[in-house]
Amino acid sequence: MADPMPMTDSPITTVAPGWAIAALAMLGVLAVAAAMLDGALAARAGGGASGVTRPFGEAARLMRQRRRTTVEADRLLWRMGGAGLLVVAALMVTVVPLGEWTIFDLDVGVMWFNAMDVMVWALVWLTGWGANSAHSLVGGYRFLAHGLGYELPLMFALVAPAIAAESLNVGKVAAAQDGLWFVVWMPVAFVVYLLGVAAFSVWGPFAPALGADIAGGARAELSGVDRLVFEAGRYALLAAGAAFAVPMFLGGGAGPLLPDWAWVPVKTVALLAVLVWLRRRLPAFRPDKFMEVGWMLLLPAVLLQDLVVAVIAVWRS
Amino acid sequence: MEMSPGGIPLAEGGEDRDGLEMDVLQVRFGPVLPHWPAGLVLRCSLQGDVIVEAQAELVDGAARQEDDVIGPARGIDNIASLLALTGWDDAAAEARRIRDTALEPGDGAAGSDLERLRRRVRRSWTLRWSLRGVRRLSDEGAHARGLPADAVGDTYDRLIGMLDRAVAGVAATAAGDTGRTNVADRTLSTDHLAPLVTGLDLATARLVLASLDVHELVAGQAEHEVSHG
Repeated sequence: MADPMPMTDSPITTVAPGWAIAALAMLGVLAVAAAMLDGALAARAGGGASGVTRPFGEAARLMRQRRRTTVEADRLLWRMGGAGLLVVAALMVTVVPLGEWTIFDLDVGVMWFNAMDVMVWALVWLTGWGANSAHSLVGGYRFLAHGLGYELPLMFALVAPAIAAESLNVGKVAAAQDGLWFVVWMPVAFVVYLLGVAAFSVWGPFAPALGADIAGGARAELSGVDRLVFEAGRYALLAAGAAFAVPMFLGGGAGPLLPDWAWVPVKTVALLAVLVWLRRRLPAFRPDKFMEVGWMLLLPAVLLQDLVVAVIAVWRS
Repeated sequence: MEMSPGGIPLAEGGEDRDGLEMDVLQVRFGPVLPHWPAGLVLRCSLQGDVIVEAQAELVDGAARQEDDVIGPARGIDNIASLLALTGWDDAAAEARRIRDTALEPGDGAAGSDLERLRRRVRRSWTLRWSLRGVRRLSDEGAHARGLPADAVGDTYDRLIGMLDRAVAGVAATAAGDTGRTNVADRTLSTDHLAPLVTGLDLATARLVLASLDVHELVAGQAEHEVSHG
């Protein structure tokens, strides 16, 4: 690697704010693609015939469904929680550079992403709390219990690429992987990061908060459009998490043949497909059991990874 | 002054396991829930999501007739429920499909599919990690609760036991064995349910209930006393 610390200007061009609409559209397409893939995998596993069209049918059904409400629901907080996931996912992708273009070229882009994923704690909890129902409240508790297990390992996983790049700017982190992607020498951080993405999307093994045993958990009382927005938010979070991994671990836009801006969505789609597929392969991590894994296994492992990265970074400079 | 916003009384405090006070919520589960023994009503006092007290009742306790086809199929259905509760959607969907095959007349492809499902479940170390040690029952413990001998062990042992029995049951039906393949009595009195779930959180309580492979529930003595007293 030639120059580990480019003190020149950022390798990134900030585009006009209007392009945010294009970024949102891309996020939307990714989320729908994830839902279609999930539908196809579910159909293959023996749950009905519709497959890839399932998300559209489900969306149409939910849009026509009448909105239910519960007695003494805390409506403001409840709606904020349900709609917030989509907003958070949109805010996450604003710092992901598409090749050389980005919407916000924040100096602390990595922290920005981290702050957004912590917001999910509040949002899922509020969704569970607001409905004033025992089932959804239990779902909210379960998410917080998972959060205690996954959040710190996720934070320290994000630290590793930042140390190696000596910057919290996402564009600089991507540029620092010239020649060698971070995923190659930070595999532990990468795996923990992916677990974190699944966790803040309440996805797959981290879905007990939405479990069938508590009638859908935090989303138990959500109906109609509210539920649609909540589910869309989960897929969008999954897509945003996959997109953010590209500049952090997968070399950003680097790749042969295709231009930089094309490699980012290609890598994102590949990672998203893995995350969607993973859901069907694994049983749920029970929150009480996962807490132990998070603190006794993931956290020490990722700290060790950070140490190794830090030593290499010091030795190189 | 009694507070009941919206007609729902506020939760009252109660002593938690750590000796501090915590709200107690009265919640009723059943009689109709997915992956739940039909007709069972569990009235629980919850602190957080931990069941501190429970009372089991049965709605519509009419006995169902089980024949040699229904019996194994119900066993597979219970497997599907338990797998669904562990959050393993794929395996649960597979189990449901096998159950439907087992109910169809004629020679079943159910046998080999079931064998494959058993292998798949045994291979999953995350499932083993998740279910190991959940409500371990000793010989005496199982006997005292009126459970068959195969309920001994933890929830993972019971799941493997269910799969073994289902494989044997389907094989016997396919071989035209007219004798009762379902040797153990799979009836459970509601009297024994409450102590099994008390002290567990909701998720584990539901796993334990599903792992008992109950084919039929009967109303217990306690309930009779309540309704006649």
